[in-house]
Amino acid sequence: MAEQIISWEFKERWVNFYGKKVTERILRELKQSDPRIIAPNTLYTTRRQLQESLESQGFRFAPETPFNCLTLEFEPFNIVATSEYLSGLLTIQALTSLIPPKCLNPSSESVVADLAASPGIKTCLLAEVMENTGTLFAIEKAKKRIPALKSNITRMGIYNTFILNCDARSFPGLNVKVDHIMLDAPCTGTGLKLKKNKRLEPRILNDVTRQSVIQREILDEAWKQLKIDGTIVYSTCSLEPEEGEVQINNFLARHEKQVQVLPININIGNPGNLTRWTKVYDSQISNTRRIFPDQGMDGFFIALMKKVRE
Amino acid sequence: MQITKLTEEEIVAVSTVINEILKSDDFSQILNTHSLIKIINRRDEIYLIKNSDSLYLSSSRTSDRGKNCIILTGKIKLGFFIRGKFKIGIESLRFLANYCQNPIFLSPRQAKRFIYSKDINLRFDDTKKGLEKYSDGSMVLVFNKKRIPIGYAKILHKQDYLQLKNIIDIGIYLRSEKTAF
Repeated sequence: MAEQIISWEFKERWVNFYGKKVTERILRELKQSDPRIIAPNTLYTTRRQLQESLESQGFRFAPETPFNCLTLEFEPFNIVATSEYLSGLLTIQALTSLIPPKCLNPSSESVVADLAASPGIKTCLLAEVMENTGTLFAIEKAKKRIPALKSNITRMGIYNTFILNCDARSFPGLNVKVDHIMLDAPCTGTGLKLKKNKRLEPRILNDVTRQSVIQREILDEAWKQLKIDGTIVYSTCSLEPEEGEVQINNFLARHEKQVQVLPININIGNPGNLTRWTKVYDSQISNTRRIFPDQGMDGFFIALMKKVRE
Repeated sequence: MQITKLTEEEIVAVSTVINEILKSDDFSQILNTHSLIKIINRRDEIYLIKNSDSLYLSSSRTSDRGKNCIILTGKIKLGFFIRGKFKIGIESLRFLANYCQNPIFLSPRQAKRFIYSKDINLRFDDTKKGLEKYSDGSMVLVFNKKRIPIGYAKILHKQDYLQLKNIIDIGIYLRSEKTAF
């Protein structure tokens, strides 16, 4: 049950920050599980081809899904056992994973870094947007998560990616300036719905503090490696403001006049809002996006920032 | 990453295996064609590089960047050397499938068995394309009916049927995700 995973401290915080009605909706939705979303690998196939090929094997899909994807309604056997999956024509993922690569929208031939990359679903999507050209650095600290990352990248037929097994905080040591950075930061994951929420121990408030410190450090180090006019997309699947709006607000204060928060062109979610947290905050926060679990996907926060000057 | 040059013997070993799979095209010719450059979207020089025992197909630009890296991937890994012998790797499948002249197509049922790492027995009469042209012990590329490459097999001539001995197939992405890559 969601109640066992989310401790009462969090609920109280959500009531304070989002209001009672929204919190009730969040708690109700966290118990539901979303259907599987299938994204075609646009490098090698199209959505229509993939749909026809899978439907001939007995798979059925919902009529409409955003972001050019397919929602699985019925599977006669596990889709992972199909030759389409094994030969890299599709990925299974959450809808929220599709947003950061589309927001970043790197041009081909640009140099991009994906920090905290494993298991590589977003890395693959980013490489698809880049049309398999340019250079993509996938950086992952945990060595045991590297094989999954490698496996996904090779399966999907991606040739423009370097995997680096190093801490995202020591990324400047490589001395590479990049055009774009995608940071799907390690977080408490309180926005994830029940099916994916497999952790045994509930999160406590200390976790929020610890993760937000790590996020701050990664964000600051990544900022140094960004070229001028480069963009960084920051996202977490957490509902805690310290990992979302507050993190970005503090970042804007630390890097005054260097950052421009760009608006995000998606119709889902609400603009970032800090009125219930503090009286004084940067007005650019309203350009970020906060998605709640009742909006058809996991709880999510996303911000797109541009480096205006050093 | 330490990039080393291939010895003459290693180049022969690689060419022999890949020419056998492709049947008609000469591998060294393919390396020079424009179409390859199109496939991996590079406009610069393309060549073979070797890192410890693994063999990659790469471009000069990516290799220069890769010198500072700790782990390197993102090229087409053709395979690896074991005691001087060249073994084909699963990552090369998508690339070599573009050049293969004489592939074997399997029915959906056979293809599923093949993906599950099973050997396939083919009767001489159920293949109208002429299985006689495949000599005993030769390597072939295996496709399913939808023209998706699914693996490599070795042809074995038995008394009244042909056996496709599974060398490597795409099911490895599931079976040994943690060890194979």
